Amino acid sequence: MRPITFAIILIGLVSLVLILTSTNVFSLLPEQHKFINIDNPSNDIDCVACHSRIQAELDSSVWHGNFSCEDCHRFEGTGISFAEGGSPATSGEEAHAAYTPRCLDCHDSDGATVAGEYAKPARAFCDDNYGCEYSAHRALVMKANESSMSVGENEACLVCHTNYSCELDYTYFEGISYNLSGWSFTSFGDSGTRDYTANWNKSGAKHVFLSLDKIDCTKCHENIYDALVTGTPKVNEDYLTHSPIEIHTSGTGDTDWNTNNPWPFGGPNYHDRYHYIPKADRATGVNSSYCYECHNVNKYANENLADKTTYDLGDVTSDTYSTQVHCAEALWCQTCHGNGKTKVVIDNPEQLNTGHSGTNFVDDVTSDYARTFQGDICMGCHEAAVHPSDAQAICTRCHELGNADVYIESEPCGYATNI
Amino acid sequence: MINLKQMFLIIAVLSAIAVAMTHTVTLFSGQHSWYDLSGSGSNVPCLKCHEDIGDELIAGGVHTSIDCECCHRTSKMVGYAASEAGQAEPGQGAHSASTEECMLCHNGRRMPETNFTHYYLNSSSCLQCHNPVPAILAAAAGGFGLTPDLCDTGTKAAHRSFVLEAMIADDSLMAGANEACIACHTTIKANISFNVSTKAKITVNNVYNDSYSYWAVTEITPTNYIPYTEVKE
Repeated sequence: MRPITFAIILIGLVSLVLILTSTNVFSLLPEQHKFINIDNPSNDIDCVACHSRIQAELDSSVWHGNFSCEDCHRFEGTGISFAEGGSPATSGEEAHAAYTPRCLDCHDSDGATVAGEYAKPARAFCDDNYGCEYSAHRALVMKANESSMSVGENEACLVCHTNYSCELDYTYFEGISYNLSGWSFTSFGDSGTRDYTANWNKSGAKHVFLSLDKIDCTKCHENIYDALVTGTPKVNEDYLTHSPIEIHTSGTGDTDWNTNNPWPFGGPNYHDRYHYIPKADRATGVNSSYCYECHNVNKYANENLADKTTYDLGDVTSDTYSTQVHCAEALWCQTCHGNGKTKVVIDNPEQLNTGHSGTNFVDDVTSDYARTFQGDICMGCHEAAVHPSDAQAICTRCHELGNADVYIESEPCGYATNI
Repeated sequence: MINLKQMFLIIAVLSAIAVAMTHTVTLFSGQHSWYDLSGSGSNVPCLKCHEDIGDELIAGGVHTSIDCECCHRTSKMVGYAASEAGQAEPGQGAHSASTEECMLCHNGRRMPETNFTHYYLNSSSCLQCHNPVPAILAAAAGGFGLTPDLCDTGTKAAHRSFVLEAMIADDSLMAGANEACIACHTTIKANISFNVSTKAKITVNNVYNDSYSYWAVTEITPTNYIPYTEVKE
């Protein structure tokens, strides 16, 4: 007998025996009648059985990794009634097994204790109307609350505080031009529109919460980073905008204009340069901590006590709203350098009494022009690259007469002319 | 090896036995032993065919002491084959049993507003649910907005879309929302295909004129979806 014939006969006989002798039918979906005991109070269903990936994310998370699913998703502080066992059982009202929590459910103005840990209030964003208008990311939080993508404001929380990636598509002005005569504007205009996309690509995991030092301002604000680090190349000094990160480098000694010295060290108008970074250090020096030097003076001062003393940051803090913002303050140059401020404009000691110190120039810029232009109005003169170091410089044009004819491009380009 | 003569001999003997027998051989023995259907309830032993399900039920958890008919012959909307006062009722929507929604019992409604009926149950099965009398009422599956409790809004329920989709799916595998109920409340195996966003796309426009400006976040949309599968064992 051929093996194949034997196999067919054998299968046929076995099938016949099964059909004739078996009294059971076979269930299509076995175990659908094997119900899990839910007699106990709280939740008896194993969330991780269906959500193991989220558990794996939490296992590698700096925050919340020690929480159970129930700690967040059946949080009792909201008044939500969940289904649970016990005698009698609770049927659930707003939610059955779980809800999607708002981050602010725990991080509200009172904070909350979860699994023995205190969840701190999310400063400013936990306040009415998400705090003051100087919180730089307030618009993002407000839009997130409108958005249906996630509950509450979570979109905003996720993009900064977790490994959830984000793409930011910015649109803003391309450049401005203005004329000054005797420190007064004789013309001003903007030109063009710039589109800029910043990508902060992470693993995408919403349940991997980042330590605060991993929240990198320069990823979402890559245009600012590029403006401060790369800009537009030029011989000697590059065109770098947003803040005066370097200045004229004709001198080499500590009493001259290199990028490392105070201004001038030990002199009568002693003024350390707060936000200058030597060229060699720019790529790494422009980081979140650098951003905080201006955009959260209070935080920077508390984390850099030596600088706090050197730069009078306690007083500078009082010039800002940095104690009232979440992470960053929307500010302008006048915030620290206006009249009456701790870091009011002083003259270049090499050009004493010839700058715009003692005038209302900085305050006038603030009151007369949109905030978005103000940094570049200042940078039109304070970019190192537009401050000529050679014989073509006519110092008196700016330093005595207060005349300027500026065209400057926005971040990340920073290209500028001042003739 | 049996030769031809021996084979003929065997066939002859078997034929003689067959001729001499007073009974024929029944291929399916017991097929003429009919169940008495005159009593209340089903009277047909479901477990004869569904022993595996019986084993699952008694393995632990809930529903361990409830007969098959307490779930599968309790819909007022069906009309099962039954016997009432010696009068046979042929059945309408179903003969012996129907596949019922979990929510038939767990809907939080009290009779008579529920579709649940005791009519087709065996009178001896009362104590399975009503012990002590008259207490047991199946716990309502609240939190999905499916019960009459006005507080049951389900607006915060993380799995609500799962339940609703189970209810409306055209290719419905099970009755009502049962796919969702079964997936969580039993040990059934499940493959769950997720498609999740890993990135937010945020559109930010600077709105300005010469003297005034603000940043407007105009859109936040999920993007960069990735699929993955969870296997519930």
